[in-house]
Amino acid sequence: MDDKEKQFEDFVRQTKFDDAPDPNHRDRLEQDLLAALTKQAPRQTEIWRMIMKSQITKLAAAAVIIVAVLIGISTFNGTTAWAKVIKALGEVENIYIVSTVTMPDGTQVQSKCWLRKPHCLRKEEPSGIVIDNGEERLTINKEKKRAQLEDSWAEYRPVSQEYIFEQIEMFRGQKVEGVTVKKLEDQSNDNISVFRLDCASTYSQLTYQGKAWVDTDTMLPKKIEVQLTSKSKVGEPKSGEMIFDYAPISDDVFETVVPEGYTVRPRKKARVISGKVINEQGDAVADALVFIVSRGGHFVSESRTDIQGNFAVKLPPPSTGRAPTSPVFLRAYQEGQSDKVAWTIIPTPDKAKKWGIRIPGKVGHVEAAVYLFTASGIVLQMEPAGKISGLIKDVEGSPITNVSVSVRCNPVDDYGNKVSELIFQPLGGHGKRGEPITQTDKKGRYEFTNLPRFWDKTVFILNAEADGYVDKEIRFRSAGPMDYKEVDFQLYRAGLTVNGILKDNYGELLREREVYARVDGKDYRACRTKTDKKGRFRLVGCPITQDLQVKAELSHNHWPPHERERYMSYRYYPDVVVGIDYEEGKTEYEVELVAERPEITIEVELRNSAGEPLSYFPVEVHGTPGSIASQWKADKKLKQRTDERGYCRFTEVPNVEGLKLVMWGGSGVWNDPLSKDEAEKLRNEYRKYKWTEVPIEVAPTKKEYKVKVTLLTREE
Amino acid sequence: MIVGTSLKISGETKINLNEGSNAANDGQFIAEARNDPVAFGRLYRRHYDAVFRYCVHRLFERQAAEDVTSTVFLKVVENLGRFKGDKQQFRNWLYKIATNAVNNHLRQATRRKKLLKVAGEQVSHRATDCLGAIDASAERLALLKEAMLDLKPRYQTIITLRFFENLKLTEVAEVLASSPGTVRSQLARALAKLRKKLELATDFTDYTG
Repeated sequence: MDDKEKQFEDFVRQTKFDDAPDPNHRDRLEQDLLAALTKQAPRQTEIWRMIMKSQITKLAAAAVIIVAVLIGISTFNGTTAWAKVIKALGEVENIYIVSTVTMPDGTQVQSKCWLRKPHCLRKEEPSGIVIDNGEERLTINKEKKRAQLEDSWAEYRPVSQEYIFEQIEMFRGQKVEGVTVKKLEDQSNDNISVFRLDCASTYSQLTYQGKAWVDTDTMLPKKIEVQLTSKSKVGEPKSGEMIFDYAPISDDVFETVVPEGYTVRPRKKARVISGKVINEQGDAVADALVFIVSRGGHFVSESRTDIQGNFAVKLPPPSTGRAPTSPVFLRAYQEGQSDKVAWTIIPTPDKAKKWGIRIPGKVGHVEAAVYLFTASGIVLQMEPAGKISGLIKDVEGSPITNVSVSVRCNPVDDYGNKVSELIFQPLGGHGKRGEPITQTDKKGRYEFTNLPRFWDKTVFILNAEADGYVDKEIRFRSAGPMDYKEVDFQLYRAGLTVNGILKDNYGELLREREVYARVDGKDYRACRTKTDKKGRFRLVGCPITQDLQVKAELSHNHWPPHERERYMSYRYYPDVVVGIDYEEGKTEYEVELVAERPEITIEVELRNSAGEPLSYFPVEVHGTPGSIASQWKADKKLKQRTDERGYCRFTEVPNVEGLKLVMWGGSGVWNDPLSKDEAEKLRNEYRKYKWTEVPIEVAPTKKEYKVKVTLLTREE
Repeated sequence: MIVGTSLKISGETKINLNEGSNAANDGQFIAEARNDPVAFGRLYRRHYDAVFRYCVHRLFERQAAEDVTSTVFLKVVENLGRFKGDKQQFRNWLYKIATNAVNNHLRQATRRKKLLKVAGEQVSHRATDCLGAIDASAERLALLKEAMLDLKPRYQTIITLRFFENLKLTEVAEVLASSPGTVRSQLARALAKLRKKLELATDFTDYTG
């Protein structure tokens, strides 16, 4: 450590930080994390990982193997018989599974599971029992001899979403890597079909081999056995079996009775958001629908107000993986009264941020950590609502019926900047992202009413989807609070496929670059793909029109900055757009996209009218708007200051339309070599010079350009 | 200077993060924590304080640091299954997640400006408070905050890990997935910038000498 470092170390040592952790926060966070860990909703699509995260399979490891084999589903590998097994299994109403695993040391672990659709389940594992009968949920911890009662989770996790059904549904018709199923004809007879199962886990790098005995009539498995064929790892079972029964299960199984000798813990309170909806005069609004949407834009739950205008919406417990994180959005309206809406945002307590935007309604008492616990005393007051409607037609002008239209919005602050940390899609509805969703009528019209008007400059995003048509998204920015807007769509039929190759003018293949369809200067990002390792791409479902173009977006670096190596090595090019040679009836097209490598060099010498060099003057390379992204300019220093002698040099300048140099003393540069004060001083001094633009006439073969510029002051 | 981060577990056992023997248990906890909430709880309590302190030292704001700490551990819960390294790599991984989370937090330009503004106000308030007894440490903190938040996030990370979290250069390099040589030169540059900023605001040598 050198002296300077030592000196700074001393400085830090003498600085007192308020950095003692708060035990309350630590404990609260721990509770939330453990809840999230225990019942983490499966997110990864990698099947092994997903199975490993399933609660029951985690505790009964046999199921890990067996379920993996089970969902090695459907029509792949030519084993259509196995597809029937999976289909039948996904459709049963009652299922009782006993699974047993044998560990490497010979010990056996057994677990039992009763599932009765739609909402009864009982799981017995060595460590405990869970019973949920749709009304009440009982959790028994055998080790601690404790029992816990709470409201049923059925509303949030119906039995059809239990691991076995959920995973079958999720992977139906998909090929699961590493799993093969083969019917053993010699061992099968009229009553029983026997299948051989092989699977290799890409997750744990283990391989298994097993057998399944299936009832030939019902195509339901009776028993599955699996053996580990690779070397066992610590904690991995050596073998496992699962026995299935599909007889109706009696109600007794799902009775929530606490066994003797167990301490019953206080009943868990339901988490509730409660309050009142009033009209503009302050009177209660009865029978109003109240939506709750989480920060992430997920629809959480809804409720209706009673005759006094009171509402209470139950929140899912965090352990279900569906609890909302704050801030939370609330919206209420009365059906039949389309011009009124009431809404508010519940912020995280003690951390209420001033977003510089108006949020109506009153929020009473709120308890929240990572998740929202409860909120009470909320007052939602009706105010005038916004409305969006429009007509959806095809290219011939005929209205299209049954088009799904959804609306989202991005809130903005006073400056029109997106406030993403506030809430993403704050509208509230039954769409995929918690947004309102509707369908066009026979005349092709759609309508959204009861929309919060939000703020000036809010961006609304409408999306239209219909079978056989290309999805279309239209955005608009409201001029003031959104009152009424008519937005019409024209949808193209989908059906063209464009294959192609993307390279630069030196023949270098451009890999992993974004390519998408474009019509009339508008991008259709619903039809997009990336080039593969050979620079090739295939765009399917493109709009059927002679105006179809293909665009490769090369002027934006799509790598995230934290993937530093990739990010920094990104080579920018101007975007390339190529049209197809449309022929009536032809559906497959081939195009070649050639990007021109940016290799123009411009040397600039800047002087004032007296012939003195203008040092540290900001100079910027411009093209037509959008042709050179600001990120590109920053990364490749296409905006820089002259040096002491009034010179600067730009390299890797692209040959774009309207290429020019812009000099203005008032602008700043990225990664400024000057300090803030120096830059500010110069800015004030250089403001007297006129805004000056110098067009660069690019000749086909010329790569080097030298430009001498004399800047004049306003007076001159 | 922080020499070792101590924390209590279950109110009794004291663990020092910088002691190899205890850190060795991490490897076992990590493997178990993927499936066992109890093991995860242990792992969490073992690292909570260090992560929180790192966040405070980067953000200079308790509430923001708590928010970011929550984000860090939620990310850990989500991604623990993918983590395949050993105990040393786990700590580095935590710092990496924390660094990204802090940088994300700071990236919000308005938030950054707000922090800078508050820091500025604190400095000017202190500087004018010359009649009363000046709390030198509080002033130092405000100055440091202003100077640090003005640095590039990369430099902030290096300075914090090196001087506040007391990591060796090689360890900082591991966290940043960079070579020690690069980190050394970046540290020198960061320090030079920081000293310059501190010297501009006050007589830096007055405090240290």
